Amino acid sequence: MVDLAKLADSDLFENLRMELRRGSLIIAVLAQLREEHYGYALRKALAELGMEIEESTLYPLLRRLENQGLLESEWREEDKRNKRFYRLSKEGAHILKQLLEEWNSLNSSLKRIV
Amino acid sequence: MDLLERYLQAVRAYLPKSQQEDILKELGENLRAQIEDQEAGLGRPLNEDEVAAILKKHGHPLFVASRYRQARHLIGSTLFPVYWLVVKIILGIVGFGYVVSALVLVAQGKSILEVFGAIFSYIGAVLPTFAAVTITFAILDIGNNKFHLLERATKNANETFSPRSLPALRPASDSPDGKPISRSRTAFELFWSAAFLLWWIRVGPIRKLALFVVLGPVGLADKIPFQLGPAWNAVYWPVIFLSLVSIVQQIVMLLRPDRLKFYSWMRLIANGGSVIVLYVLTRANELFVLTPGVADAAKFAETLRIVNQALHYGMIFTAILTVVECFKQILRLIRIGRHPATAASTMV
Repeated sequence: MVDLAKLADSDLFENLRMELRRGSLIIAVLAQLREEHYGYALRKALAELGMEIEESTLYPLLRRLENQGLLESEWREEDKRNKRFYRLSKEGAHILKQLLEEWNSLNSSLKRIV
Repeated sequence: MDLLERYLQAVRAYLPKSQQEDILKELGENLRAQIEDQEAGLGRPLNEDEVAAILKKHGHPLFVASRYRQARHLIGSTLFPVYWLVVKIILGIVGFGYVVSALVLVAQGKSILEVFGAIFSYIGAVLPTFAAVTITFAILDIGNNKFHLLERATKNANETFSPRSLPALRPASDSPDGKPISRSRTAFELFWSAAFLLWWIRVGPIRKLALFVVLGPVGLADKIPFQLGPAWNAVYWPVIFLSLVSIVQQIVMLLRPDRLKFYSWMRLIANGGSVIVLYVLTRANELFVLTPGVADAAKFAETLRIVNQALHYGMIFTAILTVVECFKQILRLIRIGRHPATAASTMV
C-alpha cells in the first residue's frame, strides 16, 4: 500500500530542494561560462564538478540567461559539427559578482543560524 | 539516428513557431554530442535501445518543450486578487438579486415551484457571469502586460501610502475566534431587521414573506391554522423600539465601524430589551392560537400545544444566551473605557 504521508513528504522535500537549487544553478552556470562551452559540454563540466543538471533544465536555462543579456552565444563549427557556444557577457560578469557576494553573505549568515 | 529525428519532430509540435528551428537545431546538436560521447566511451555505435534510453532520460517531448515556453496564465498574480474580489462581489450581487426576486414571488403569493424555480435559475446565471468576468480580466491582463497599466497607476503608491489612512478596526464578532464583523454580514442583518420590522408593523405582503422565512413552504399555504396569540400585543411597541435600535446600530456599523462604544451600548440596549420581551412572552400560556374559523380545529390542537411548548422552552434558552451576551457587552464597554485604542477586533 502507498504511504500517502511519506509520498507527500517526499514531494514537499523535492519542491523545496528544487527551490533551493534554482538560484544556485544560475550561479554555477554563470561561473562555469567564464569559459566558453556548448550545452552538452557545459553539462558534463558541471557534472564533473559535482553539479548535476538535467538537460531539459539546462538548455532552456541557457537561452533564458542569454535573453536576459547575461550570456552571449555564437554558432561555430567544432569537430565538423555546428554548435552553439555560450560565454558570460559583460553584464553577466557584473551580475555574477553581485550574486556571489549575496550568496557568500547568505551562506555565512546561514552557518551562524543553523 | 531515426529515433532522434522522430524525437525532435515530436518536440517541435509543442514549441512556439517563431523559435522552433533555433531550439531544435541546438537541442539536436546537444543530443547528438551526448550520443557520440557515449559511443566514444564504448568504442561502438549505440543501438536503438541505448539511444531510446538517452531520449527517455531527456524527457517527454511535451515537458521538454514546455521548459522553453514562458509560464503562461489567464490572469496574472498582480490582477488575480482584484479579479477574485470582483468575482465574489458580482456573484454575490447576482445571488442577492435572485434571492430578492424569489422573496418578491413569495410576497406575491406565487406557488412554491415558481419560488424554487427562481432560486435554482441562479445556478444557470452563475456560469455565464463567471465566464464574462474572467474574459474581461484576461483581456485586462493582456493589456496590463503589454502597456504596464497597473504598474504606471500604482507607481507612486508606496510613496503616497500612509498607514494612518487605513480603515478603522471593525468590532469583533461574538464567535470564539473574535474575527471582525464583515460589512456583508452587517448588511445582511440590516436587511432582515428591516424586513422583520415591516412585517411586525403589518405591512401587507411582508407578513407572508416573514411566515415563509420562519415556517418554510408551510408559510405559503392559503390558510394557516395558527396565528399569534394576544400575549404578543403587550410587546408590540417594545419590539418596534428594539428593532429600531438594531437598525440604527447596524447602519452605524456600516458607516462608522470605529464607533465601538456606541456599537456596544446599542447592542447592550437591544439585548437587555430582548431579555425583558422574552421574559414577558415566556409568562404567557399560549404564544400561538388557532386561527378563528379554521376547519378541523381539534386536529390541530395537539400540534399547537407542541408548538407553544417548544417556543416556550426555546425562548427561555434564548433569554439565557442573551443574558450571557449582555455580560459580554458590559465587559467590552469596561475594556473600551480602560483601553480605547485596543478595543476593536483584537478583543473577544
